[in-house]
Amino acid sequence: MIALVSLSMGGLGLLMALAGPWLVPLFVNADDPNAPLVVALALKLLWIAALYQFTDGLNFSSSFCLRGAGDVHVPAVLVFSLGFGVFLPLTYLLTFAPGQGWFGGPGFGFGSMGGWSALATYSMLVGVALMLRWRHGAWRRIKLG
Amino acid sequence: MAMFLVFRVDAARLRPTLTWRPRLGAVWRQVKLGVPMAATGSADLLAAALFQIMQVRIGAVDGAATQIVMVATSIAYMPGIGLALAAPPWSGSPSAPATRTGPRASATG
Repeated sequence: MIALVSLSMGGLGLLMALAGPWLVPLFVNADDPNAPLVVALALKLLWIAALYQFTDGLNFSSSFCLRGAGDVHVPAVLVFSLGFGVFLPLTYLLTFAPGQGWFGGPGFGFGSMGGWSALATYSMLVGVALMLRWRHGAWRRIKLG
Repeated sequence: MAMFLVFRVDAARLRPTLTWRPRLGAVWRQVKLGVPMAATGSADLLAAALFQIMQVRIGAVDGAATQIVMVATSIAYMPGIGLALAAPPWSGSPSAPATRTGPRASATG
């Protein structure tokens, strides 16, 4: 089930990336002076999103399997700590150039490419963590009902 | 208003607790499972919202491109979500075989 969800989401993400040149222009006004820039950037982001879809499939399916088995506390802590301890700081670091963000500090200034890379990294970390939690088998000791 | 209607007017008129009483044990078990699930979803959504705020902060082009990709990925989610929603009854079904290893083992595959 977990592999099926990951592959289906990753496959659709790949299809979206391949169909990007036809899809993305539908979302912008061609008369807008920024339209070519938006389309070009969105086409690059779609490839990162394709990878993100695969790992998010791992995340979703593992999370839902654990829910079905009643294992909800550790996944909540994992998602919270990785989301606020890794994902958001990494997004800030990769997205903003030094002094560009709200809090100053260092930064690589990769823009939204950096932000989406952080999202893909976070999704991969959560997906793998939840998958390992599932394989660990702690849910076998949980009694439902 | 809704709480008033449900708990005062209807309760006074229909007296539902004469035939049905809340089972506090079951309610508590629901809360113990439901609160972490809600917290997980809320943390995920809040992080995604902060992510989008950061992308918009860079500029209009990055913000617009992020929004477009978000829409595209939300379309790609749907079949995966449908399959993932099938996982809880599959992995946690009490009607599974006595050992409860059959469907749960399949969930890993």
